[in-house]
Amino acid sequence: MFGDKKYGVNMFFYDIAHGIVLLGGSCPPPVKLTVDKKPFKNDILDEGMIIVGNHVSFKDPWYYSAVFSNRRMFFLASELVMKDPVRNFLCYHAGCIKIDRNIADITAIRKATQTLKHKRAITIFPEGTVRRDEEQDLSEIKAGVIFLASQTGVPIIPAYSLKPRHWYNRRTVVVGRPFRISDYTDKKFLSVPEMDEIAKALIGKINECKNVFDEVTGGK
Amino acid sequence: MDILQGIKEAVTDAFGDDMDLTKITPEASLKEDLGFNSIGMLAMAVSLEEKFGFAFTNDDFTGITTIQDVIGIIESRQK
Repeated sequence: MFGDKKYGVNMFFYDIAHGIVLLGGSCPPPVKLTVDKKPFKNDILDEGMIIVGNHVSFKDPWYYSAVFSNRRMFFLASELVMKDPVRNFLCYHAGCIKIDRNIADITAIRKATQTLKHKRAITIFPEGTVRRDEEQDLSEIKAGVIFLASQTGVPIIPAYSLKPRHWYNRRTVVVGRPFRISDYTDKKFLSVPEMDEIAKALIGKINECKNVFDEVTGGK
Repeated sequence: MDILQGIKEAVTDAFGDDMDLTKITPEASLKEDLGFNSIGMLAMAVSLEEKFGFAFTNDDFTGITTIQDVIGIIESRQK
């Protein structure tokens, strides 16, 4: 409905912006695979979820939106991405939740928590920045994603993708199985060392997706 | 609840049993003495919110450097 401000975003403008993002991510449509090398069917969960992947391009959010096209997708975005008023306006209406990485941004965490509790999907690139280097193994991720998942109880969906060689090539995205914090611990409140340990397990799951990606595409 | 004791418990929640609680004094610096990072601050904040029944805001985290600053925030919310 026009003017409906659920989740802190005007959903009318959000749906327009999201449509544009979906269109951008679908031209050409990505090749969507599971870690079993089967076509990814976009029906895995009917609950809040956090999609976590490597970050190689500013177009990554477009492609993840296209892969999970049946979900209203939100993004956790660094304050640097939204630093000027125009980008801030566009990103905000496209569902970006601004997070200030220099402080303990509890406001952003609360907004993300509410979004997930309303069964929305949030994509997070937990390396914290776009990586342009050749070595695309994930070695370290910020534990904030584990914190958010433990606070909300939602699953994390690992994913991996690289930019295609040419803009007209289809981009391959490999989606892993849902990763639940409850598979590792019964505790709702995790300490930082516990979050770091679980983050390492999550890196392993993302790298499983990477291995499948490399096998299928030859690493390109 | 004694505020300093509550903070000690919250720090234990946030950093586990390996944290040396004798380091937690009002003068202790969160970053230099206790090794806090932003995720540690968040974890401690969530634990403190549960213990003392109030919600932190981002403004609370601006400019806090010591345990005494955290005590000050809790005291101001309890008034």
